[in-house]
Amino acid sequence: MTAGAQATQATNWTARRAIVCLAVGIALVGASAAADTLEPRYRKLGPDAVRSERIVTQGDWAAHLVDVLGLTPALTDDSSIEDVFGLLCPKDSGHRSDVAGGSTAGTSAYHAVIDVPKPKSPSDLLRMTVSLPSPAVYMLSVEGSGPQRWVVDQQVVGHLDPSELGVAQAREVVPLRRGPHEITAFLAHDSSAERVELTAYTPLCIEPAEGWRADRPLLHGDRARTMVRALGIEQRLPESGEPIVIEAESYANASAWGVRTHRKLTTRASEHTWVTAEGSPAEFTYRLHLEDPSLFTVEAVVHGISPQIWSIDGRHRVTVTPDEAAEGFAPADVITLPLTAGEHVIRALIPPDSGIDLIRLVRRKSDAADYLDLIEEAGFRGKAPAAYVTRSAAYKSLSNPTFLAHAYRYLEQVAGRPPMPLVEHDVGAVYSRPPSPLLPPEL
Amino acid sequence: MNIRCTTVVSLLMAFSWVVSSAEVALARPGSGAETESNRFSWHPSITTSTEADDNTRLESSHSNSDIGIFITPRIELAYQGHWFDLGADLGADVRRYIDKSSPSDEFYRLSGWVELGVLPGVTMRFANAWVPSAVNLAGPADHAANLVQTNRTSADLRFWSEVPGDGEITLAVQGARLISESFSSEIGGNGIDDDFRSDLWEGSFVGEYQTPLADRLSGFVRTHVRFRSFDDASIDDFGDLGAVVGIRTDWLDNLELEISGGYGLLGYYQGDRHHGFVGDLSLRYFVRNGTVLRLSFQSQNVFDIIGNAFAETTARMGVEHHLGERTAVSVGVFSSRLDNKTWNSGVDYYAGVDANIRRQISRRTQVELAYRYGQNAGDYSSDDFSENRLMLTFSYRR
Repeated sequence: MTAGAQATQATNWTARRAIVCLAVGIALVGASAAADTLEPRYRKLGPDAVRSERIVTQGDWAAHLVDVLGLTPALTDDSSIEDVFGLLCPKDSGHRSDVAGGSTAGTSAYHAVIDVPKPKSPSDLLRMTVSLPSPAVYMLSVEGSGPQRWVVDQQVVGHLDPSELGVAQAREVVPLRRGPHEITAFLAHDSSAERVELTAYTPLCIEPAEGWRADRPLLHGDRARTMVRALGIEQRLPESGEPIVIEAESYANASAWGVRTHRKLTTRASEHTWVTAEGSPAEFTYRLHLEDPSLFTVEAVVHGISPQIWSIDGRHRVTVTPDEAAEGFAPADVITLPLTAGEHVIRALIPPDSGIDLIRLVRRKSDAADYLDLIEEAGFRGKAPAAYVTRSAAYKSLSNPTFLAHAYRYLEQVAGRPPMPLVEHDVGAVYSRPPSPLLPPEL
Repeated sequence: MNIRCTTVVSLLMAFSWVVSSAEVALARPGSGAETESNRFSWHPSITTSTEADDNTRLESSHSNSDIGIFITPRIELAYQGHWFDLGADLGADVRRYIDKSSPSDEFYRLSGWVELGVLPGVTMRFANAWVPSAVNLAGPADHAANLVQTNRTSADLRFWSEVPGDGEITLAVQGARLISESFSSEIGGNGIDDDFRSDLWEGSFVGEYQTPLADRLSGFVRTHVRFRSFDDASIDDFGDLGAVVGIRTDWLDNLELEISGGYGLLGYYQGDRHHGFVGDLSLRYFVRNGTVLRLSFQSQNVFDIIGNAFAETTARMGVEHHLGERTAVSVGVFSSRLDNKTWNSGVDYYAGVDANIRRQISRRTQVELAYRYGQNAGDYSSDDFSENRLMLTFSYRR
């Protein structure tokens, strides 16, 4: 082949390659223009986020969080971003719901109370419907007696026995969409159910420091705060100052069967005095005044083997299960939540032969930097609290296998198991190396 | 020794900067916005491992079974602001075997960096890393017999911008200087140089354009140019360029897929040119029961620190499964084919299986049991080896 022919061939090759590159470029730009109409406003982060330096909005972050936490069954095609925020952190605004198959004793946006109709015969299935005005993660509780099995929309939420306390909370929480839902109960012989409540599970509220704002850029501090709450490890935040200690016997009010006692157990009670329920369940009420708002972990030193129901300010209600192995008193985590300055009420409903020795409110540091430290301890890289989160960083956080493994169990975790998540100690894979030992992986 | 002095001095300077910055940050009381804007963090950690290895020197004779104890203390420091990141990662890796003929050694992992957001979309990064690097790419990258201490100083300039059509473009240039401690190496079939140093300059440019193509589908074009120039072996100087077109999608729920393919050209300034297909396929599938499946395939040009360039084809497959909250198990297989293009010195293979189980003991402590079998085989049987390794590791990280 002559030099001229070679030059011509080389020119042809170059021209062909240029045409191919140009065609690919035009195809990508054209397709991207067509794709403009396909992108909904707020949605789960997509494949374009993998290497995107765009700033992620709180709306997109919340939409992706709801997806990985398994809460999307509560959303419909016409759900708004406010519904997404409500799933992550229900804020009661006082709306009312309609109830059929039972009479409404009191309802609001995230709460429905149903007076259960009397069954025509003892073997009858109890069936009722309730129309919920807001999508949320709901917990069912029932007043009555005897063993019973409750089902919401074909999903078993718990085998309950409210005999000891007169009320029982389901162990499973369930994401429910706006609109009508069927509630079914199978009652054992001699069992009864008088009232059923479906209440949005408020104790675990996932939201940024200043609440959700759909179009506001997500900051690293907010990313950390929401991830910590999704992982259920907020009680690991560092303590701040002396805890507030309330002796159980210094209650403000006690129901009929609640008494103080000096009875000795295998472990000594604080101040040698504690409270118990004699014969029937008893409710103890404690009042406290906080000078400053703060995040608190409420802990209790309790006695007994049966579950107790605790509530803070009448809204945040949790079931506390004492350590069965402890013969005397044992500490139990009640709840971690932010409390405002001012008056607060703690109520504890305990079954017979159970008791409370004392209540501790541990103040916790809750600055953005504290949350960032906590997720870094769990193996996630952080940045400055006020730095914007890029879509790629958001995507990386939410597709981390460790985070996903725990996020997928979010609904179980809500039911009260103390989390001990496996974290990344950055020990590295047994065999791994970047594409080139001298080229940083990000390039 | 120059490496150590330079590195230690630079790290001490970085560390003092971190500490002084930290003092300023920590001195601010309360939780006001000013405190929230900057942040100092530190995470000390230590891992202790006991290893049973049936080939500690990675030799074909396979005659060095031994028990080793490794201790790896480490501290990660960071001071972060809205427009800058300053960090240091300071650690040591001390490896001791019972039999003195095994390669007991200690390595240092000391790195520091500063990243500055100088203008919207423009980032500069300066970094220095005194860390061990793998010598033989067709061998385990974490094995003492395959590691040499190197120092790499680099400067990056990165530009990112949105472009019309919902696309994004990233351009990055990097210059770096790598120096190594002397080690024993075979030089181009001319025998063994016991005092070989891999001192070189290198530079690279990377450009990427990505855009959404459809619902749950995005496309990208990526191109790169690299060069490397050795101080003492200019015959090994080379340039490398490549361009790929690819897509990323998660059309199927919980399935991430990225496929790219293109052309790569590798050329020595004083020698041959090699070109061919470069590409990447990676797939990750999450199952809601806590299982993650991974599959990857890569065809690319890679380089070792001696000056060899390889056309590498690697495939990996792995499964990780979380057993409850505290425990995870993973199993994987891998295989690499490295075709040496520098001296046309043949093809090397490295393949094997690995498995590990991790359990969280307490909030900050973890235990891991890992097993790996790796086998090297190639055109020159004299350097082939196989290795079984079982490692029990306890780690603490706060």
